[in-house]
Amino acid sequence: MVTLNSAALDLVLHQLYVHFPVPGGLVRAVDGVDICFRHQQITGIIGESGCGKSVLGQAILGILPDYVARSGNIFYRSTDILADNTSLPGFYGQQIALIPQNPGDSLNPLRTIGRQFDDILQTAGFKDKTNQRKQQLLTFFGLPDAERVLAAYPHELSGGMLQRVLCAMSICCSPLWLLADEPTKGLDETACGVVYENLQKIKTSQSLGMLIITHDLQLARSICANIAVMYAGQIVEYGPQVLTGPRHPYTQAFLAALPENGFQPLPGLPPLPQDHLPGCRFAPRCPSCQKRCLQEVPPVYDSGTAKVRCFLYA
Amino acid sequence: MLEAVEVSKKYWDRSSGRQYDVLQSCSLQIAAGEAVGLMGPSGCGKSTLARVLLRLLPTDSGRIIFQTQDVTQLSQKQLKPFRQQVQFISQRPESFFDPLLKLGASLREPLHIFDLPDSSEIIEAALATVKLSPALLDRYPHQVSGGEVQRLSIARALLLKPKLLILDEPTSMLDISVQAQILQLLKNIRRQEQMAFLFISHDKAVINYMCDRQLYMQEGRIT
Repeated sequence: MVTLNSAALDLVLHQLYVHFPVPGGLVRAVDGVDICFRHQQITGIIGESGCGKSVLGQAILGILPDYVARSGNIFYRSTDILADNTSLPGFYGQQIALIPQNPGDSLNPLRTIGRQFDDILQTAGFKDKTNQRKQQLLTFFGLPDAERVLAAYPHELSGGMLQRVLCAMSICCSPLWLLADEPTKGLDETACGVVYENLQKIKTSQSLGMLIITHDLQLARSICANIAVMYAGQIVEYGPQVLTGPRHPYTQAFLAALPENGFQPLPGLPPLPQDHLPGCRFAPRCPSCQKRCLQEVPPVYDSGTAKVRCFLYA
Repeated sequence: MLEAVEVSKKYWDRSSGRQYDVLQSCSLQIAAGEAVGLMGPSGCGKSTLARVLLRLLPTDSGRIIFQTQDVTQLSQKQLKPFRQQVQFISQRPESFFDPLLKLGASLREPLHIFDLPDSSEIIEAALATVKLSPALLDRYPHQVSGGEVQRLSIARALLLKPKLLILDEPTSMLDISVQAQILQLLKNIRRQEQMAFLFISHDKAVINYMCDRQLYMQEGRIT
């Protein structure tokens, strides 16, 4: 799925493998991912829990633990950031920033919001002694009483306010890429609305590329130009019309579990991450499984509207 | 089967001295075998109401009646039959399992507490109901997925053959495919066991799918 003529600010993942050593084997969290995420586009990464979405995000951010085995490349600005991201100035903050899940757990409970803002700005080499930049950003994200918010500790703010604070912090160093990891997980309808609104604001006001790791398909549908579907460590489908015209049998089954499709559960369980299947990883659960699917790993085919890892599109 | 009559509950913020009326004269009734949905925004008091109905929190006023018995003021010892018949499923099931105990030991815990027969057949039958392999019994909570640990918490509740399940956002932390599996599972269990549900969720589609009728809560009141 890698495009060779990718621009410098695109994120190009080439044959990316991330394996966790565990007693008795390897957990293949990311297993041969080839994809190009375009700058100035929003890409959603969807898939069920444990499929490797968040590990893929951690690999891009360079925050995988040292003991994890990794191979392949992540090209960005002519640098392989999987091997070394220290040569890029301000990698965290100016090049790429993160909106983490669980706003309440992502801030230091012992420091005021203002101090935590300063920590980020100082790391990236900025100063904002007059608080002007911070106040502007907080107001932009719908917190008009910015002075009070900056003086507050996280426990003094509601979940919705913390979500807005994190969005403001994520773009305070004007990053070129933003990664949002499950930004709506466990939130109620009102709080989800805040997240949708904030991401839309970022989309329209900033010139950046965005990766949204989510299982909230309403969010993915409303904001993403492209969707990548992950299953058992691999990207099985990628394209702009994945949610309206799914091609891969897994994507079709995944979307059947949506409320509007009657909560139809996907039969069976995903393979254990330690299991090394000789063929397609979805084959044991696939309604269209053929003999070949159990023996050979399907390559990626171009089905016209999407890139699909399935022999049905050979 | 379960009735709450004018139940109220206040919380105090000790640092500021402020008082919050979390539940204000809440009344509801759940009939045997009925599935009642409880919806409302975050912070409206849904989870506090669940804990009050379970007698995990005391009420400030009002009564809780279970199968014609007023359980509001019963001692912990007197509450034992109530605890067996009213079980709780949480949105964070992992916090209900001791991280230092293997899942098999955690699953057996309620059988010992309620002096019920404990055998491998009983445990395996409960696991079969929630479509889990007995191989999981030798694992620790952190070694299973979110969907599996939620199924295990359902299996543990079912071991006591409860008459009522209070489910507080049981699928809010799960992805859509696991959510669909858990909802289907709960629906089947309810049909087979003729169990009543109080199903708390902020997802209207989930409530419509699971419940016979629904209640709405706002600022501590059932409207």
